[in-house]
Amino acid sequence: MVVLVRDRYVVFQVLCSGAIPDLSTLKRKIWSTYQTLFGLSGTSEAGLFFDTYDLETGKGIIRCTSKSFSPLMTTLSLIQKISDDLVIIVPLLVSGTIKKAKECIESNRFN
Amino acid sequence: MGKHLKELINNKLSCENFVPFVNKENLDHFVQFARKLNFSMLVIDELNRETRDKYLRSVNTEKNHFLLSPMEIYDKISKKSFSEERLLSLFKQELVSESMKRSLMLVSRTTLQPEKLNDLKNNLSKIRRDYELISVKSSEKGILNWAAHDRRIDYLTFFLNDEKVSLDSSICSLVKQHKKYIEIVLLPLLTARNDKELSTYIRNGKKIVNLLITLKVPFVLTIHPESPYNLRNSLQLRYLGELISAPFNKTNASVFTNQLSSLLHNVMKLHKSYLLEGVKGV
Repeated sequence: MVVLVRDRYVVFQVLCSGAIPDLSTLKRKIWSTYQTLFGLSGTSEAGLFFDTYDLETGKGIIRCTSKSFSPLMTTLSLIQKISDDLVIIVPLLVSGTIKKAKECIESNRFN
Repeated sequence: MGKHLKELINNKLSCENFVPFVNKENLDHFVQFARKLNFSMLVIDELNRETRDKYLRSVNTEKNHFLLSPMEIYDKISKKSFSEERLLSLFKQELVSESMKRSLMLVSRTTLQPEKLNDLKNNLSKIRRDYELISVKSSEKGILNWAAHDRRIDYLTFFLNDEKVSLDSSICSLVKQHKKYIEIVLLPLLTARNDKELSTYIRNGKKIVNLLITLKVPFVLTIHPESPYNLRNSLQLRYLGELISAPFNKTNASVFTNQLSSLLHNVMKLHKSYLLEGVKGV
């Protein structure tokens, strides 16, 4: 029997003491922290994909598999510095569909 | 899935149990940030009740009354019930409605770090009515044993980077018996300088949490933020707890309810209507 791997879409917002980091810097930080905590094998199974990221508001969407949702949240909570600036990555919403996640960003519900 | 979604949307009730008090400007910064992150309660270390009330008067205006003291909320609900359990739920409800208006409750606490048992006894008798919460941090077993007995103390605090952690099953059972909480400070996880340090802190945390979960001892998770950017909401705290083997479904009370229940217990004692344990003047 084929087991479907469900995706989860995490909407997050980056709050930063300096300028909001660009996507590549943020990606690198999240990947490296995830790898430090859960190893190469864990990272390869996580299926992380950065869907949307708005540099002005600092809001974005990360896709992951349902199994790696919890490790991803731990990773986001643990990050506190990106290139010498203090940051918080606040998870705003988790959804099973990209449509709802995008609606959340567009509606500015958490402003 | 539905559960997570609900929790993420409803994570209104977040608290930070151990914010260091440096000066007024620093406190302003913490308050602004906590309101931005939708926190409901900030517990400020080394800020006594009198100074806190002065600060509240200086910040709140008639139009913009967004900072609250626990006594203000207790005054609203105290006449509605005599049961502590019912009062706790009323207190929580009131706090939810206040946090919808982006209000924030400021609580005063102190952390005693005595070297000898006599120092602790002398200090406690002097300060017991100045703070709403009192915590003890020590690596001496004798002091921890005595503190676990004393009804004026609310928490025994342990940092993940402590060189010597004297927590054992005897202290745990005393804590459980006397309805206190073990406080685990997670800041070292965020500030670890390298992977080796991080793994050491995770190992220390796992040791403590495994003992607490095996013996079913209530505990609270806190960050002890150095800067407002170290603040983490209740959901993030629970996920950080997973890193030190505290399962997500067992830390629901550890990020808000336990803190609130020990606070309410003390606020009732400090209220003018309190006469004796379980007796209040009407």
